[in-house]
Amino acid sequence: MRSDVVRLYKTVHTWTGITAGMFLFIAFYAGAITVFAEPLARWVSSPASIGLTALAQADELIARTLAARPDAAKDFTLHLGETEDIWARLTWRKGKDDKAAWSADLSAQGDLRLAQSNRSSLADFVDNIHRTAGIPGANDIGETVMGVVSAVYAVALVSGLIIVLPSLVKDLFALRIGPNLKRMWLDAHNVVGVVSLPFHIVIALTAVVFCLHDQLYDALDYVVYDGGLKPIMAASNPFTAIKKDERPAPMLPVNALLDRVKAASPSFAPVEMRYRNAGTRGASVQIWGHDPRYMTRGKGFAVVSPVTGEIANTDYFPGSVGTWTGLVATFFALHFASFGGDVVRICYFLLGIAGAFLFYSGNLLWIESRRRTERRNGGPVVQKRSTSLMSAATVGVCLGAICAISMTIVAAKWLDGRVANIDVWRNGVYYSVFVASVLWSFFRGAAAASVELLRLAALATAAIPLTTLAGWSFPALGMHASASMAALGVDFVSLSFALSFVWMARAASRRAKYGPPDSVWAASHRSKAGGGAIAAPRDQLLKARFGEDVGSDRWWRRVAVEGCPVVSAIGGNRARVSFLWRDPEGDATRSTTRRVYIDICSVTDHHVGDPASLERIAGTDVWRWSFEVEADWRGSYSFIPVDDKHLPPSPLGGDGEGAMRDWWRSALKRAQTDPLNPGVCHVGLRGQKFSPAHLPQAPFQAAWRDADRKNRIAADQSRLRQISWDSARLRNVRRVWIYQVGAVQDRELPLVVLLDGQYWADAMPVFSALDHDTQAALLPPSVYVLIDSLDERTRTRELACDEAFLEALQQELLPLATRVAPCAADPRKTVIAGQSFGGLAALFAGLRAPEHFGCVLAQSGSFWWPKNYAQAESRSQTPDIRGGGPDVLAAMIENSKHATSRIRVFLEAGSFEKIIRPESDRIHRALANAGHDACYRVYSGGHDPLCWRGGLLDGLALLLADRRATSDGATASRPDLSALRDSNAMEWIHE
Amino acid sequence: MSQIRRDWISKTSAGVILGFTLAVALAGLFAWLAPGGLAAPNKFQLVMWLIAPIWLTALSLCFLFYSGMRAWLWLGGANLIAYAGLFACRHFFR
Repeated sequence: MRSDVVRLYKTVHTWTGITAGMFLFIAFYAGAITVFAEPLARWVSSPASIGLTALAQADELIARTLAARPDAAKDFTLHLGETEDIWARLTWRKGKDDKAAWSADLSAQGDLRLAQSNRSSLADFVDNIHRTAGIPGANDIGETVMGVVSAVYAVALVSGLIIVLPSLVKDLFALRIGPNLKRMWLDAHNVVGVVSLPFHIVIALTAVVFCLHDQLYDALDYVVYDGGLKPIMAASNPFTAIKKDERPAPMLPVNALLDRVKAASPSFAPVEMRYRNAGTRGASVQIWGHDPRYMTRGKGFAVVSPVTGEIANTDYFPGSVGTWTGLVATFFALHFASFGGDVVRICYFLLGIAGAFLFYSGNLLWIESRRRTERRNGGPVVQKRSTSLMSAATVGVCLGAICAISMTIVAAKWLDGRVANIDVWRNGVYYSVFVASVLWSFFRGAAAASVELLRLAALATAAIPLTTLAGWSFPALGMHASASMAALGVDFVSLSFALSFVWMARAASRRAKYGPPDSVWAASHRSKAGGGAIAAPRDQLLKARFGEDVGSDRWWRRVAVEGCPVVSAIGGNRARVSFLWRDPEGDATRSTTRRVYIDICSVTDHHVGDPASLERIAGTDVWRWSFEVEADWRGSYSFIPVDDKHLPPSPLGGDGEGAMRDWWRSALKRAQTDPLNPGVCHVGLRGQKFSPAHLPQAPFQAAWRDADRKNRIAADQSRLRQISWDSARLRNVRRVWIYQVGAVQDRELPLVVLLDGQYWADAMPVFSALDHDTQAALLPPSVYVLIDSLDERTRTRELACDEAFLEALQQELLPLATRVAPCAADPRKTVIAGQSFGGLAALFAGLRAPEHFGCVLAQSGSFWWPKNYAQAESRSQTPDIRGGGPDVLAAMIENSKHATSRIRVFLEAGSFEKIIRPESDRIHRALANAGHDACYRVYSGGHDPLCWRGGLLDGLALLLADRRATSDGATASRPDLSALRDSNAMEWIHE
Repeated sequence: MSQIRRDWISKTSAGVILGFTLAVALAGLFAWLAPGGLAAPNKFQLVMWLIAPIWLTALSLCFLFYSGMRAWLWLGGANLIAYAGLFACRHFFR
């Protein structure tokens, strides 16, 4: 299956699922309950005040009722059953609008008792909720809406199947239960969906037809039948066989009629007989009943003439149905589970509940995937409005429906016989509980509301068996506690549901307390950043965040879900960053690990001083360390676990520095990345691997998002050329990468020369990031030339203000590159960029050859050259000392004052770089004084390619800003600098 | 091989509108051509039932068309053929 097809259908599935999901949840939950409508009716019933007339006396009952109430002859029903939900033997309504049904029964003494009762059925109410998902108004509105919803649902099914097909065999039953909650929910959603697919297809199609049949008939009538559908419908009416005839005629006894029907089909079990126009020649009896051998529309019926005893119509009689009615009856039976007996009904019930789970989990997955996206990007972790609204809606609607239905069932039992208008009361209870739940969910937020509403659901559902208990224990209450198996079944199922709601409430509560705090499901007080929280003692913080069972497998799973390092806001725009390491050997008694050093770039690395080690939490396998930093910091780090043999030398002692350096060198070989860090590891300057730590407020590196995902996008090979530069002047050969982003025919493309090219081509490939920013119109289409620095010695020689290198660059490389990818020879459109020593080289090139390199990008430049690092340190501590060696750069800048050309410089330094920062300050001031266009910013970080990679793109965007020419040559204005970053926490220093 | 275009609005409208009319037409063809003809008692129920699966299949699969334009053209064409058949039935079987 092509991936674009799958992606397309993922969008279809998401949208159809979200729009239809909540309606379908209610429909499926109520629908599952209606499968057992009869047991429910029996549970809620109270015994008739008069006992049911015996069937043997049915004829007498009919005769006497018709004598007493002739108007009943038009249409009355004789109920044949004996179960407790049947409240009278004979019932009729005066007219269609007659709300209260009339009943007739013979008392024990033989008197005819007539009564009128408002007994409308709870089962019908739940069925209405099922058909309309609770949408108020006449059923028509609700059903039409549900018809549309069902159509959307059918599309969701097909799209879901298309998505899952490619990995069907491999992934389907791989239910990955584990710390990755989203994966687990997704697997569960897929398994349930695929296994119950046939059921869902049937339900979706039948539901569309049920809800929209009127509209479909209208369309057919217009298009196909030319207005002639009504006569055909009339002709198909099963009652046409009995001609209208007003002449009076006696009716055969009930048993005779039943015998006729039984003769026609012995397995048919009649349930009720509906008489029309009784007492006339044109009378008809519609005998309804069940026949488990056939698939019927709920109940089947035969039309019999009570005068002659003939069976007039069997179109809907199980076993003798016509071709067309039989086929259609099958569809009905498939929806109503009116086949196969109780086993099929139980299966449908379970499938209905599973279906409700599908819709609920589908919405949750959508919400979770939105959250993950925010997290992965290291973007600001403030819940999107759409996510919190959707989660509140899902929780409110779904759990609200559950609570409302349970409460309605309970209320129906308590109010039965006590109030006049039970319809009104039922509606009142249902809608008030439902609306209140939805409002509560929006008010409290999904996290808290899910816990509270689940508890309410547990209570309401437990009230069902408790009501039965109350009915038994306190007969004075007047509630009849039915002891039939059916009714007890209702109690039992309700109790199990109540217990599962309790369990779900506890799981939700745990998630609220211990789950990731940036999640929609976290209790809101946890996700408020900097809400005046005092920096709690570190152990307390870990316990509060992940639970009391520190070091257990479940605890580590919670940590894994959140991801390391663990960040907590501590107010004042600062954060506490905690690092955790799990000792694979266990606790202190078993492990040989003596120390776990942490190498954080420019924070605890070899430049800074004594190596920092994590501390073990006593009695566990947890090692932890934390520090406080600005909330917009980012940095690379790695762990160095050591045992007794590899401890660092003591700081005192003779050859302190040398030994320390040696130790660091060997230790770094043993460095490990952080397995609990969800981010992709990257490679550092010396080829070792690091884990990235991006604090939530660090400026967002959008261009690097794809590189940070596990599926990296390779550079477009058609635009990337690797050539070999054999330099006569420098007498060496090196690789050069030339990457073209943009139109080929444009000869005016800007040129960017990137030093330390091997790092930006191999270790941290910059190509996809350049493509991204060019596509986002932050960078103009340009040609990028990446130059290999070969080895350490060559690099130190060539990049440290080396005239020869600069000449070779200008005279040999640039023409070579231009032949491969034509670009303009305009210094204002030529950038030279570098970091560290490369930064020094870049600034040197700009000052020395401004006619070639008009733009300079220098990050963390080693501007103290030619002094060595230690001398630079002493200078930084006593800033006013001049002299003591030539200050090459300062001199060059001074000289440039007299030159005509001005260069544009973008300088960057990390706040943690002790020497480089003040040096960069100094150089920036000098450049500004000399009249150059110098832009300088300080980022929160260290000598770290993780920081440089963002600054590189930002700097290029700034330097090439005016060159984002539109096709007619008009130049764009300089970009809004604040658009380059998301937070205001970085310093921008302009002169 | 170029990617399928998204064209949400045009594809969805093609599926909803043209898919529906096609379904009605095909159901009508069934009404005419299947045994019993148009006026067979109770046949109309099945004819009505046929509309939904045809329509929803067309709607679900209409996103596979390369573009919205193609969806309209193909579904429109299918509609034309189906309605031509329907008119023919009406003409010949009256």
